[in-house]
Amino acid sequence: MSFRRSLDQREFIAGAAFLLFGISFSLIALHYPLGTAMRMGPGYFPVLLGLILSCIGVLIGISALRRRPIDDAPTTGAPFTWSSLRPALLISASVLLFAVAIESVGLALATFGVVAVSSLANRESRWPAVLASGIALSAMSVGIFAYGLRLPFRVTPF
Amino acid sequence: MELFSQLGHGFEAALSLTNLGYCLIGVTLGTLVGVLPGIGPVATIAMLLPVTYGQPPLSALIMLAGIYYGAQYGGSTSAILVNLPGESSSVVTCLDGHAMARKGRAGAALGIAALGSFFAGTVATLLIAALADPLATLALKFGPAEYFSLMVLGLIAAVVLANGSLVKAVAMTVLGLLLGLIGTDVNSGTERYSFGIPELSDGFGFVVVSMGLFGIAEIIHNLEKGIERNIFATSVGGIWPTRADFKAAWKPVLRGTFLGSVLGVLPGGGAILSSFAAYTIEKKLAKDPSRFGQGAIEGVAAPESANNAGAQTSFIPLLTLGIPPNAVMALMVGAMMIHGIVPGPQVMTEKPELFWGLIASMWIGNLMLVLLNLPLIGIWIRLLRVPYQVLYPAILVFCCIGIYSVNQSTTEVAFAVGFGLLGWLFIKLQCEPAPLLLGFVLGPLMEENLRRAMLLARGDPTVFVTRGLSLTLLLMAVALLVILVLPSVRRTRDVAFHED
Repeated sequence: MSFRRSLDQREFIAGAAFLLFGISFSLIALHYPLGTAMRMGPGYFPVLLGLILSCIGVLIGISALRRRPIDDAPTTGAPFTWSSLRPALLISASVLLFAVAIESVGLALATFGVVAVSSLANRESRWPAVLASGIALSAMSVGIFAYGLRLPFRVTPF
Repeated sequence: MELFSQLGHGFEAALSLTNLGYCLIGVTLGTLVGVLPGIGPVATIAMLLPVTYGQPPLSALIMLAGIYYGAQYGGSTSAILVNLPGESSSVVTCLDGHAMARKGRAGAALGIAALGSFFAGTVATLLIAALADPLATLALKFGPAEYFSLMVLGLIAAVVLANGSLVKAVAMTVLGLLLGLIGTDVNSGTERYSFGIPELSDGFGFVVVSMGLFGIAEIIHNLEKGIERNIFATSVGGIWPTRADFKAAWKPVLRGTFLGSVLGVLPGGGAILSSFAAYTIEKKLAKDPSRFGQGAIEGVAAPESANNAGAQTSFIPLLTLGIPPNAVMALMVGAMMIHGIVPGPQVMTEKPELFWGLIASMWIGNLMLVLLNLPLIGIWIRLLRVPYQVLYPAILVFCCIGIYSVNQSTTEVAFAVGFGLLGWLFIKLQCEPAPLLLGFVLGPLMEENLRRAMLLARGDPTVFVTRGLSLTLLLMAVALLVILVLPSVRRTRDVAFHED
């Protein structure tokens, strides 16, 4: 029954996540003036929505615990494994690298960096191919965005 | 006929050389992202939003609209040829379209899909033109209570559309509404949830959220599960469908067009729902339902007409009421705002050349698509052979540049990473991100109208059910929910969405 369990676990985590979101949004909004139903303050609507979200979260969590049959698309495996973190980490890193690089070393190198780091996320990538597409994409992004559309980007480190 | 003279003016505006050029760029790009799996119109339009700053407003809207309906054409190409839906609205086309391709009749399937789409596009264009005036008049009767109820209806419709569990879709919508409230409250000037971060005083940018949730998250997910591709070996065959094909297909095309046009107008509707509904109906009506899935041409003609009709009529609520019915239309709101146009009934009276020009361009764009898709099919086929490992770094680069170029803010690029990871988590938990995005856009609007309605009613919440129009809208929302809970509809919906 591992399939069954992974499904319930996933539903439970989803419920818990929504509950957490709902409670935190509500709690923070309590610091803003609530106002009355007639003159709503900035806190009124968010507190209300947060409470609704928490309730739905609890509902999802409970139905997962009660193992009610859930007519859902088939699950794509366990919700979380360590090996599945590789693409997530490397793709995030490549975008963050872009954020750091664009203003310090410019568009050309930043683009190359995104291609190089994000290619690590795919085990089948080969270096010559990555190098080639990195250079091609750098040339394209500089050509299209910096010269073609004249966006005021820093292009090179110099 | 006033309608035709207005449409005539629209054609005049849309037929200028610049606008024809942007229309061509839009539909070509749309076909391109439609053909390529892993990148859709939402991400593309989000990426191109910053680019439209420098363009005239009409050209910008023509181009962005072209991407949306162009993607409906392109999506069918990869569905038929490689059994891979390029767009979610082409999922059902895979069933019979690819079956036809395996029998060596890919050409006929592509041909009927393109011609059906063109017919549907023509009808939908006329429908928008005809419905625009009455709907805009109706919109003038809308007070804050009506707008609030309409948004409730829209959000519920979005939930109905979402893949998988209903309750989770509701939760995603509410979470989206909350995320939309981040930033300075317009009524009191209080900064909400900004934690002193200056970039958050205006809230999260729409591009940041959509690129994170749809662009980055999608790439992470695809890499993790590993994209495999089964390239077809058969020849495409003749593009022009036979006389028997036309005979079998004309009724499904008509039905698909009708269904798509109606479902597209509903808030929350659009291309995806239309194609599923059209397929289901054809299968129900067929004398021999067992042919479906084995290469029945009706199973290609109906959903392809429906998704194109739905894609176009979903502009109606945006243009007449100012309410975006789906995520793509939410992006169009962003595009209009960039140019200082507030979507709503006043666009038609204040900027008629923009309004009618956009509508006319849709028909021109559809014509271009037929010309683009049938003779150039070889190019699209070659594109399908580009492996994902080459494609995804390019998509990622364009995402990064797109986000950065909005405000030249590196902080926003970092926020997008956060939304990417959040979106990835949602995919893992099987929570569809589209309702969240719609909630995100509608959040501030909904709060604003709720506050105004309550103020006008002196704090009496019954105002939403005592005003006729508002009550009608809310009853429609309730009806949608009731229909959805009915067992037979539930089953159809589960079958229709039974894909990953």
